[in-house]
Amino acid sequence: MLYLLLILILIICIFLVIYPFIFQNNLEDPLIRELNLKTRKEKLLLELDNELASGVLDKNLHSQLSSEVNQMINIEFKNLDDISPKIDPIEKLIKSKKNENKK
Amino acid sequence: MTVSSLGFTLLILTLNLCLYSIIGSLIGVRVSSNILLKSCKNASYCTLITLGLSVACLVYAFVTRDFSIKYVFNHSSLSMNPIYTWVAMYAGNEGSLLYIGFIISVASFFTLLFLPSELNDAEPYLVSILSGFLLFFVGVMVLLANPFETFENIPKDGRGINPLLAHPGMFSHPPLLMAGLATISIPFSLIVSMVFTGKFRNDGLDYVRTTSLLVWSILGVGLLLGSWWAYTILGWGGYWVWDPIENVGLMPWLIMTAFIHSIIVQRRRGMFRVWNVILIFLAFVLAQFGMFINRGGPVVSVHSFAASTLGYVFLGFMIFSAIFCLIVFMLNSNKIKSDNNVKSFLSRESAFLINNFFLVAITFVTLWGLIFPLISEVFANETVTVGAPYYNSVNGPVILALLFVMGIGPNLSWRKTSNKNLKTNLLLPVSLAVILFIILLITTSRPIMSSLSLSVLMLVISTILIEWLKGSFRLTKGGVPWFISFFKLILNNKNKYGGYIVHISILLVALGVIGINFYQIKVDKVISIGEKIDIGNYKVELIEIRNNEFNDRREKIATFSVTNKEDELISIMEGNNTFYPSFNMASIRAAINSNPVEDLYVIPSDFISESKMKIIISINPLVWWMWIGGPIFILGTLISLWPNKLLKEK
Repeated sequence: MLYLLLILILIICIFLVIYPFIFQNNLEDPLIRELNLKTRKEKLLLELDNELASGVLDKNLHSQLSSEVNQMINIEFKNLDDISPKIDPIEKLIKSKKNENKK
Repeated sequence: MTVSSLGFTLLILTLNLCLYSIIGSLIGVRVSSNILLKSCKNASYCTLITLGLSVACLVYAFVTRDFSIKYVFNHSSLSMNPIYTWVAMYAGNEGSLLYIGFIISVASFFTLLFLPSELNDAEPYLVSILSGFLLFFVGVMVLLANPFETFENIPKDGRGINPLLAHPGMFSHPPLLMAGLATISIPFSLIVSMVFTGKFRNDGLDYVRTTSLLVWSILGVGLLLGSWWAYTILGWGGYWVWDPIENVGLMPWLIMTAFIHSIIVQRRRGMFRVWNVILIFLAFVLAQFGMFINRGGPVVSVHSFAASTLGYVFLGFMIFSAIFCLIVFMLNSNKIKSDNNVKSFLSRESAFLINNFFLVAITFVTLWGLIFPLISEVFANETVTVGAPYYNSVNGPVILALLFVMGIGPNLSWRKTSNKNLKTNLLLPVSLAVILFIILLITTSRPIMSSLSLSVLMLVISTILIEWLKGSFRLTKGGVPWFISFFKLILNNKNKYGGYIVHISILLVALGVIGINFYQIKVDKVISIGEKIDIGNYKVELIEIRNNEFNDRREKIATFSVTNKEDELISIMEGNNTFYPSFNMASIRAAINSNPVEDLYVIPSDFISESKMKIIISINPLVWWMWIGGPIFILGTLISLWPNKLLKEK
């Protein structure tokens, strides 16, 4: 019984480890990074709006901090290509194809 | 095949999976193979299955009292209450290592499973670092501390569980503390991976903060439960004695507290990047220091249950961790510079920085108290003991200053606060604090520090409540009932208001600390049956002393009746002093009558004869609130961790 259990676990482990070699599906949506940045921007701006509504921030400071958030996210947008080393060259190809389609 | 051999084989399998994950991930990054990286990630997932079953094997061995396994023999017996089987599993070094390994595999599994796509580049490094950490623990078990080691001749009965561990608090205190210390590796690995990819900017910080909050709250609840356990069973007469084992749990928690605050500044304003890296490295190294002290370290403690001869192994790992952190920091320090600097002293970020400074100061004071006896012994050949008075006198004022910043901080805006705003925001809280201080100064004869401490608590609580009220009243525009806008305010900004609830829980703990430190009344006396002792508003009478003999222990139970000054019965209390001959150990349970105002706390310290005993009676004001702080702490953390609507929609 215990032998069977051990064999079963071994089979599960071997299957999980070799699974990616058999079923190769390694495409990542390159636009997801942009989406993440947009989400973060909206989240930070929402927090600032809430602080304005609850009276922690005044209008002047709220607008200053909002523009700072915009500025910070814009820098990250610019850096997206520079600081993200691609693991798979196929991703680069897909991204450039998508960009071509956009144009 | 026996359960013990299955358990050990699974450990070896885990070891191989870890090795594959580490080497494969590094090769995968080098040759840019996503397939290999995914395979390594799956191998890391598999460790959850293998270690989970290994734990199940050990628990099964305890349930069936399989004394062929040395660990089961050493930590259980036929007479052991089956309810303590789970506690027995981690009662010693080998079992607790298995438990820690399992927790790391669970935490790694969920960290990788929910890893946001913005951290995809960091994933290979994350897999290899987490697997490396797990490899250490599994390696120690396989090579030096096998929990499945067997006897050739099977004994008929075991030694039994350590008596101090036979307490309800033990179901949660040690596992939470161990889990907290072990899972500091999660935010640490995330940060190191982000630094390796050169992407330690602002993306993925929500995930880092979420994992850090979880780890921090697990450690915090573990510490609080430990205090409760010490208060009720250890007979220390208190909840905290600055014991080395307590301190090594407290220090990483303090640094994690600093980290979860300063990571907010990085997320909001792109600042404190270098500082955050230093903090998480420090927390991780201190957690390894804790493992070292707990498992055969050179410092004597009254409750080092997992002590072993493996101290040098953990010391080696701690030194390795420190060197690793130093190298990572030195090689990457130019990539982690901040976008902004602190513009004004009167700003929220500045308050966070001061808060961090105080937390780090308390940590180093505690660390110094812990290692000073060692330094003194090695370099001056003098045996020195550093006790509670040192910690209380040095840490006390710093903690008070920290609480003061907790009261001022929420009144400050990000970037810069105008003097006018500051005056408006602080006027009411400061006035309330000053009024309370004057009243206390006039009406009580206690030290000035007690009045000052309570006034600071007033400052903090009034700041929180005023901001809460102001915020919710602003949201009542358009006829929305106040209580709806109150909850809406929390829901709109869970991070912030969850944090405030946690602050309230800290205040409740502080209230208990102030009560016991400044307002405690204590009597140490010999009492005979029928004799009464007057203390505060109580009269405590010893009614009887009973003796109970069991196979594994001798129990002496003292029964007390408690009446008020008018001789009206308040309660009947029992305390006991139990001796366990096979462990040569006594366990004292205090008799406690608790209410929100004060605890009547009786320690049956020594039984002189069948009718006479020595007791320590104390009245501990406000301690009840300390334990109420626990559930509020959990509530606040849960609110902070609750996902935002915006993210859910995305």
